[in-house]
Amino acid sequence: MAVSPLILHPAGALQNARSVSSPLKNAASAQTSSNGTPLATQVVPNVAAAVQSTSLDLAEQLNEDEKRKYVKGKKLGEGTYANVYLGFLRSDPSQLVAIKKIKIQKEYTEGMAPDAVREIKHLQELSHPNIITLHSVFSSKDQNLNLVLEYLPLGDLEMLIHDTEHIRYGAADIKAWMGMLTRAIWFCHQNFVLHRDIKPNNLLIAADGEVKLADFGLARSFSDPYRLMTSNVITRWYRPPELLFGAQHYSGAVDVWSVGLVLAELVIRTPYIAGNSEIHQIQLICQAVGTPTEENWPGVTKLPDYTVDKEVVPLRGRDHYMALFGTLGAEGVDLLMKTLSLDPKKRIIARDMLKHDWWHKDPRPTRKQDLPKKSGGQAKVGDDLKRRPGVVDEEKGNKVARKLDFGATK
Amino acid sequence: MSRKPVTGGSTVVKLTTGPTTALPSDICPVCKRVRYLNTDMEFLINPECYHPMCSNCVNNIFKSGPAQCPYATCTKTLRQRGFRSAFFGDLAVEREVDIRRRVAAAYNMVEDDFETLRDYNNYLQDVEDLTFDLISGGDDERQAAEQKLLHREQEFREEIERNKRRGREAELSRQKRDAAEAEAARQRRLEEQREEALARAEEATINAEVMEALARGEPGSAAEIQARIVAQKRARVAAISGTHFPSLLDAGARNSNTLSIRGLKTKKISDEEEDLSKPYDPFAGLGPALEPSRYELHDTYPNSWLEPAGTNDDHRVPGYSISEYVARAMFDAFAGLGVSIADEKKDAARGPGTVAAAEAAATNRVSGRVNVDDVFG
Repeated sequence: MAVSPLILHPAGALQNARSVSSPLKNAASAQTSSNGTPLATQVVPNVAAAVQSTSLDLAEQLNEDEKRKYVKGKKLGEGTYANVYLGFLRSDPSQLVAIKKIKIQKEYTEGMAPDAVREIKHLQELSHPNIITLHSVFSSKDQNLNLVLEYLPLGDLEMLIHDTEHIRYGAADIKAWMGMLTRAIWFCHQNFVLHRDIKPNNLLIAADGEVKLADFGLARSFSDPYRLMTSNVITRWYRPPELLFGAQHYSGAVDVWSVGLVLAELVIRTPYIAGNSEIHQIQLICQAVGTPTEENWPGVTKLPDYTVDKEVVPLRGRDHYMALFGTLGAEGVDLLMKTLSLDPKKRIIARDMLKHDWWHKDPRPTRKQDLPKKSGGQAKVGDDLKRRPGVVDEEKGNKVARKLDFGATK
Repeated sequence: MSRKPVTGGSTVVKLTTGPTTALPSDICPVCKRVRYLNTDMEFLINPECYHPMCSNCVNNIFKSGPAQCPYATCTKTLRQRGFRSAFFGDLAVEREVDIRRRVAAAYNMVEDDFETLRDYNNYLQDVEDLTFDLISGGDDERQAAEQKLLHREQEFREEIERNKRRGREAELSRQKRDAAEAEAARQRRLEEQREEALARAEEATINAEVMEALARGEPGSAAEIQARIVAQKRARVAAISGTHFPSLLDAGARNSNTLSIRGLKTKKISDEEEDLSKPYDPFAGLGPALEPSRYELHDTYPNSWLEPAGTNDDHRVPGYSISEYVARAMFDAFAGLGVSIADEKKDAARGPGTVAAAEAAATNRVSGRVNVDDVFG
């Protein structure tokens, strides 16, 4: 950086032209290569960029190069938080990507939106078949942040769960999807990342049927002791009781609760515990699982927002779950009960979930290429990526007629 | 070279169950009824012993249930359901065909299953030996061969089913191909007819032309066109493909109890085969890779700073996990030890996500037009 040939002042232009054949130029180039900084003009592929580069510093130049690797195509979706475009590699147009352009938010005029930072921070560290890949990040004009993500054209798990008309799936398919989801979560936890927003519409489906965990806008790494974490995370329906009670020190168990509810939702094809408000959510948890009390969860009454109804519902027994989720078989129900344990200390951890017997019992999980699929999910991938993290899609909640989109039916 | 010599030296195919192998034509060997008086007489056989008798006898003897074969020396118990009319006049042939059908159903592997042509030929040879033993071997040989066949039928039921299914699929695709070929042939025929009509029309004009040319005094063009049509037909006839019959080579050694089949191809490790043959791995192969390998994680690490986190209600109750913290601290402390620059470089060049997913996405890209213009300008 000591010698920057990038900034050319108009006054120096003539002098530069004269020194072409002089030994001065050689000295300058020798110096740049000696300290390892490549000449930017050599990197720049075309003349237009070269001209542009005259006014850019190195960081801007790198950004420009990164940006030029991708071509942004049609818009897949627009939301309050981000726009999503289809894109492809300039060098190989058959390689599709999704480009998520984060909108500038009013609350965060200075610096970047925290959810974007979280997403970039964790996605660039995590590389796993069941976690969406972040290829690149660059900023476009007006300092807009663009995330280049893996293109996952087949929509999300929520679409499949709620399309009871056209999609049929069985225990083997559920097991296959759960296997992929549990692996993703286990991988996150193994790398000390809490996802904190697991729900079916954050589980995108790749073209080969692989389920991929997306939307790391609420993720954070495991907290140090005595360091507060916010309890206002995870979409309400999938939020575990400790967060509803306002706990500020928690562990990977919060994600496991969400995974359990996704499993329940896969079976009954409707959200299992869908509260209208946080209070309502607690009430529903009491009814579905049992009231958290000092007996089943020592110390729970000391949590900041502990409020439950007067009448205590005893913990639901195995037969209750068997009646609702019998299609999973005895082992599947056992796993579900372990994930829906009220006390997070007794809740199963992701690694132990994968060691559970259920995976080895019949039926064997479906191969990913045989899983039920739905076509035309292109608009949906846009919807999924643009959503603000941690929010239930209101459109679906109150059954308002959706915008007609004839493009999606093609 | 070919058949194993039958013990006893006899190479005559003899039906072990009776003196005559020809289906009687006029007189029922059981009831001595004559065709002259019963014009609709029909002879039936039972694949248990291949003794022919007329349908009347079958009705009379076996109607009330299983009974012994009416032939003097035959001790087989037969049922009416087993009787059928023979397809071949010679019952020895009938029996051989039945046996061959059964053996072929059990040993239904194809050349693609084998590593080399020689292995396949050895297999065919062994199967043929077994078949021969069954058809015309002595009692001992037949017994042994029968045992082998039963063993194969029972032990390899799944494999046999699979081969059968594959055969059916191949048959289906063959039928499809045949249909397509027939259609193509029809088109070709139409084309030919059209051409012929054209040629004929041309010929007619040629005749006129020839007349004209003759009148003008330039002959020769009619013969040329005739030659062209003949040449076209010749070319079409030439395109006939021949089938090839695998020849039998020398026999290999066989072990005593079961027919040993050597040289089977090791199963191709395609995705699906691999998936189904191995037990499902919930960790998808990553299980041990993510466990710490360069240090040992203890259950507890006494530390006065950490202790309150384990006992404070605000940490303990909502499930804050000290072991998670400790695991992370240990990982952070030792992470640098496992770094290999070469591995890191490999990771850095990662393509778009899962390769398979990207490929599948790329093939589906017909949906949605992509603007090639650079919107960043």
